[in-house]
Amino acid sequence: MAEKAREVLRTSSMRFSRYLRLFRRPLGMLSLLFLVACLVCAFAAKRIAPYDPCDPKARDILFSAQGPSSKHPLGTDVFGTDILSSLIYGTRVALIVGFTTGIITPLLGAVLGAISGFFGGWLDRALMFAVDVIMVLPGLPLMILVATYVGKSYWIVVALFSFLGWPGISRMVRARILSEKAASYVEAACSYGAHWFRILFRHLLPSTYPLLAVTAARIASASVLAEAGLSFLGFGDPLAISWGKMLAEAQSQGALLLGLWWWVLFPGLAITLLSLSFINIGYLLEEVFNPRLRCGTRW
Amino acid sequence: MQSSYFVRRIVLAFLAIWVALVLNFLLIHLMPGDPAERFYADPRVPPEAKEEIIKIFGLDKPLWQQFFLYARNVFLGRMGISFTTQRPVLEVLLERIPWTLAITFIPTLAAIACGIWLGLYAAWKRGTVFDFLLRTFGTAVNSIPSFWLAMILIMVFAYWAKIFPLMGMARPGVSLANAPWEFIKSVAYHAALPMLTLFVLSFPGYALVMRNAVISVLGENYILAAQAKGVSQTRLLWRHVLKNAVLPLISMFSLSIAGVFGGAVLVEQVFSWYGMGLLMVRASQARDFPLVQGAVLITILCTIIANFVADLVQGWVDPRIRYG
Repeated sequence: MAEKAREVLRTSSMRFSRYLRLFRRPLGMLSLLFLVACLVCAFAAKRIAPYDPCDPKARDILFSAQGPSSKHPLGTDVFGTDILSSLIYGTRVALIVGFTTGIITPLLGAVLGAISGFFGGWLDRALMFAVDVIMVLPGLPLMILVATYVGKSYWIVVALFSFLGWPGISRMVRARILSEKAASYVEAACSYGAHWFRILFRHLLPSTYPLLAVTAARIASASVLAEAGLSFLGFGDPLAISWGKMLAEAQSQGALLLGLWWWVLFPGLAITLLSLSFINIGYLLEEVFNPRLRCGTRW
Repeated sequence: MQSSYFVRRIVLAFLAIWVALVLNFLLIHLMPGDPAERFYADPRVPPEAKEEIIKIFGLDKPLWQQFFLYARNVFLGRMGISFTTQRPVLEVLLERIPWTLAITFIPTLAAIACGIWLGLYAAWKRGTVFDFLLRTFGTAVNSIPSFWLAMILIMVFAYWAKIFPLMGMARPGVSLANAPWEFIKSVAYHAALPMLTLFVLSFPGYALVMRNAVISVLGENYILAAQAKGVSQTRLLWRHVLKNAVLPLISMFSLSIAGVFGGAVLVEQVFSWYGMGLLMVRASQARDFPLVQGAVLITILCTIIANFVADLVQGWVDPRIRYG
């Protein structure tokens, strides 16, 4: 079976062969599976969750602060809220923050970095100065500062992560564009009269895709952690259920003094797993986009 | 050229500070509501202080004049009066900085030392189980929320094993004035878990950077030459390899400075360790605008200055950067 699969991989002339290769990365596929499961939970939280964590009537007062049981698989907190249900509802905020940040930041970084590297001159200098300045700004203190003025919302994480995250990406993209610019295929494109827009976005930028995929995943993973941290500090959306807020409640309601380990363990595990799976999916995407990691013929 | 490198760095640091000031100032003035009110119109501020605050910050003058006054005041250390404590912001901040340094400084140094050693060893024993474990742990640790790890450590070491205290900074009633030695012992005892948390989270990062740097250095010709010359393994690693591989660690250290001054917010929150981070959070929850502004600004300034120093050190250590 494995031999046959390898044979298919070697001889296949079809484009999807590169996707077949991905099955040889079990960790990556597992991560993808976990992310899909989270997505399903986020969209169908109402159907999947055994209880409604937002509804005070669904609280099981008699079963408050109970460990895992058949009725409450991951236990309950001191209010009697089912922890599994809260976890399922908590996927929403985590995924919204992870995906929006993971898409906006690399886009911003790639476009600005590409422009900077391609055109050079004063534009390049101005952008790289902005990069140097923004890179030294600390993230969490700034988030607290903005949250003090703007109010409690997880969109602060998205906005500040995009603002603080693009410089690192654009610096990498710029370096890549600078080194590719001198390649003969660019000269060839120029000589047949291709528009600069086409050269930049059609010929040069694709060479940064593998890099962008990995960084996008890393940023998504970091933003999930940052959102959890901000919610933990009490700056999260007061109405939304988030994993960070669950841990904050566990802390303030004395889960550590009472030894309610399930209330601490599971939300943190969820954050860690989602953050990890974003990173592993990044490596998976790198394999899809990077022709150098692919074996055999391209098409 | 050599001198132009330093000049460039100084200019960059000053411009960065300037940008930070502008951002901070804009944030006060762009938010809805009367910005002047954020300086004094809080019931907690005594009415007689209002006149003086208006005078010092020029709140009745045009905006651009206010900005220059603001910048001047910041450089003179006048950051306003904290609403909650009724004291100058700088005074409140300076009280908290030693506490933050107490739990961040030692773990950072230990993490670097440990990272250098582990990185060297992992690169030398590349492909072994040890190398694999270090790499796995190094990637996994980036995904562990620091506050969660802190909570787990409290659960294990304070709740179950009862080795360390649950939270707090020192035994009540013991202070530096009445029993200095007891006080230091008590603080160290309370600081152990926060320090352990920060150490566990930061050393794998240094180790991985070090490992990759060492691997690229090991491929150089001068290493081959040294080996051919018959240099012992210890001498090869600690003299020939280390010197060339330690450079990326310096720039990484400069990026982690932010954490040393203000980034331990989450860990401080878990342990109720009243340092800069917890101060920031509490000030924000109490809507003590001058104090939050001051705390964030101090963190940013420290970060910029530390980065500047790290750049200088890097330029001093590595001539390629100086002349490049």
